[in-house]
Amino acid sequence: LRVLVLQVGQEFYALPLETVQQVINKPRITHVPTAHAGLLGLVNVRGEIVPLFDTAALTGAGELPDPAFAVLVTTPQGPLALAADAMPVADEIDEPVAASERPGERGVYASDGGLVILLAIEELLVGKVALPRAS
Amino acid sequence: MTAGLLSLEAEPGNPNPIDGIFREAHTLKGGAGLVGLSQVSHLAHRLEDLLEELRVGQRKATPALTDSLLRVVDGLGRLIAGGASGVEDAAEVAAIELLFPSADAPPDDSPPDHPPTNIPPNDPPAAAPRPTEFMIAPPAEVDALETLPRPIVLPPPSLDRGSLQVPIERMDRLIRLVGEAAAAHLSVGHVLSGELQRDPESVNEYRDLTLILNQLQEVTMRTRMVPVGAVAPTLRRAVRDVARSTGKEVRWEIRGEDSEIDRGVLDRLIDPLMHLVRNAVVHGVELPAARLAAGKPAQASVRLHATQLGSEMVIVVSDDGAGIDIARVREAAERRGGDVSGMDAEASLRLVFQTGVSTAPVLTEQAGRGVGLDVVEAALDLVRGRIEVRTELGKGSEFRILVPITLTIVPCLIVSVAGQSFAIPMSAVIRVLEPATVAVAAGGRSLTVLDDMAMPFTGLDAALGLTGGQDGPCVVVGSTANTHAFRVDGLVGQRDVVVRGLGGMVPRLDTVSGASVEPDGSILFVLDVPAVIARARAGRPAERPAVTATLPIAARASLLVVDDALTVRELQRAILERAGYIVRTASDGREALALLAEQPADLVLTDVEMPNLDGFALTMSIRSHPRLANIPVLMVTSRASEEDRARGLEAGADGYIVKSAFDEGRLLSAVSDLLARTA
Repeated sequence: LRVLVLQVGQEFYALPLETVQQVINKPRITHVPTAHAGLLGLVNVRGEIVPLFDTAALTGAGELPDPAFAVLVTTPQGPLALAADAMPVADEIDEPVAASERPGERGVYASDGGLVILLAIEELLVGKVALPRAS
Repeated sequence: MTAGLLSLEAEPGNPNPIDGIFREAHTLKGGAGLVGLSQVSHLAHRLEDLLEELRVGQRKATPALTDSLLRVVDGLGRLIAGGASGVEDAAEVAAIELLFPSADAPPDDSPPDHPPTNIPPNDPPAAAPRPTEFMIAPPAEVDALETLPRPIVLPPPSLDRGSLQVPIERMDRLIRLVGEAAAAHLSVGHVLSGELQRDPESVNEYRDLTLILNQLQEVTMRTRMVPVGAVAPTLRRAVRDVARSTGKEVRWEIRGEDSEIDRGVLDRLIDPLMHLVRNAVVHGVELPAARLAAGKPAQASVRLHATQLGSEMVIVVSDDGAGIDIARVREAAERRGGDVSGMDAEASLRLVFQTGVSTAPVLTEQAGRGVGLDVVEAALDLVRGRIEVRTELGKGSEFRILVPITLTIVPCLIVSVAGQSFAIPMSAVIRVLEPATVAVAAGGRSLTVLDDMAMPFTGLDAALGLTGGQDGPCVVVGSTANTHAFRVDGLVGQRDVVVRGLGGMVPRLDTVSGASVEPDGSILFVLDVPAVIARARAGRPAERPAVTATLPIAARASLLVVDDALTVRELQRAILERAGYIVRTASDGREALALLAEQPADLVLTDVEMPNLDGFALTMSIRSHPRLANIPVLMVTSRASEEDRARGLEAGADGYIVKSAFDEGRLLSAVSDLLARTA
């Protein structure tokens, strides 16, 4: 499976490459008053208003309040962006080396000498951020 | 077809409706056959035969027959809607068959013109019509498919009218792309001025592009607009059906059906309007015998009047029935444990918008459960609308809905709070107070006093969960029943904000109703005023004491509003009373002079074109009267020409507002400017 690997703090997460639209360098974030901690704010992507989620807060890996990069992902409900620490890189993963039991995670894979966790975005958001139309 | 059948019922001798329905039935028969809906085709054929009998006079159009035919058309609508799955509901078909009158009916096996013999009835259709929403530009009258389930389906296009069906999603994408083009255009401007040191406006090509993009934006916005009349057949049908089932005689009247409104807004108005017209027939209108006994004609009127006023649409649903008995409303509220002591007539009347308060003596299928008007108000909240009610016992009731004509462009007051800008819809802004006039802390709550009324006061930064707000002006927002003052850091300005839909993955935001992309690429939030007020009242006091000075309470100014149009007059009255003024109204210049003779006013707002004595003549009369000569006169008129403006000022008017450019904020600021000038 072709994936994009995001570094978030000490963790590495993978997203299926076919769902990734683009990587935004230094996203300009508009903070939302009274928003849930998992939502960093909204970003303007060519006139479209897209939510930027704190990947670390969603996975329980801490906080990433001022991310250097944002990865724009397509979902059936519309686009969203995930925060990343360093420039994400593309890679290919094969069979999982270990299972992952937390919701929103699809197993642990070997990648470039390290381990990455494959994410299922929509599942990751369920219960953490109230969406207008929960899938 | 529904519209045709209703016209036929209203004018039984007129052959035009029959011809129109016949054409529709014929088209339906052919179209249904083509897509494999053989039973629909067969039923349409039976309808054709029946219409033919009506046309040649073999059968008479009676209300009972209209009942049956309307149900046939409803059933056909359901069959077509369900036909997308490829299966025609046999029970529905059988039920529709039974609706056709048996006597003189043509034999059931008479073949259709184009029998769908090549398609077996049970095969799935090759290309069944998808129940996709469509818009038509330009919109034409609704007559064919309005009995399908909501949302409104406009009639199929006819090529000779130059119309085109376009799926809504494509239209929305077009609007979004135009928005992006405008944003990209502004970015080019930034590059020109920043990197190339050229003033963009000095570049001819840039100026031309600005002009074209502005026009493009306006035209694309207009493609979302549909006439209010698009919902008229549905409402007319509801009035007719409810009147029949309650034994009442009701004439349906509509005016202003050509006024255009955003389709998204109109979609949300269907339910509230249905409630209001049904209520008018069930509760408002009396039975014919009672009307005759009260000296009224047996036939009652239920009217819908739509008119555009600036960026708002006013839709009035009125009846000439018995009116609302306020005493009974109070009793109903008391029975539910409400405290009505100390409520005046107006406040008591607003109780009809509370859940469970109904004055209907019996529970019927149509009304009386005490739900409805509360639902109406909740539905209007979603489109930033509001509702007002007036009633006179024995004479009738009037429900006035005010909604913005589009949710895409919202006139807003832009304020700064804790280093961020926010937009507050002007429809929610009542007035702005200077920093020095903000007042008092009482009983642990911060309050300010405005025209004798104390109201809650909070820093907007605290209400939004921000920190670092500064002492600045105070913006009073809300509705008549629910006002709140918010301190902001500063006022940035007032302008139209193009509101974008937030994507499907944006979580529910507590205090934000929409957002807009600014020319510099930043995002501006449009605040959800009721939600911000609720949050402020949920026990989040301003973090700093707000006591700065005590507001000197000025005597309330008395205004006279003169306009022959009831809707305009009452709208202005509502706006001005909400702002704290004492308002009297007159329907023409002569009545205005009589009222001024009784008691002068501090300011007169007048229309120009009125019967008896017009606005110019009224102004001149005021100026020539020794006791009235100093009263400022503000002309509020639909006339926009320079010549009229000059004539108004020559007659002695002090200010001039054109109705089409009129909004609440502009009216209030013109009034307060003129009052300040003459104080």
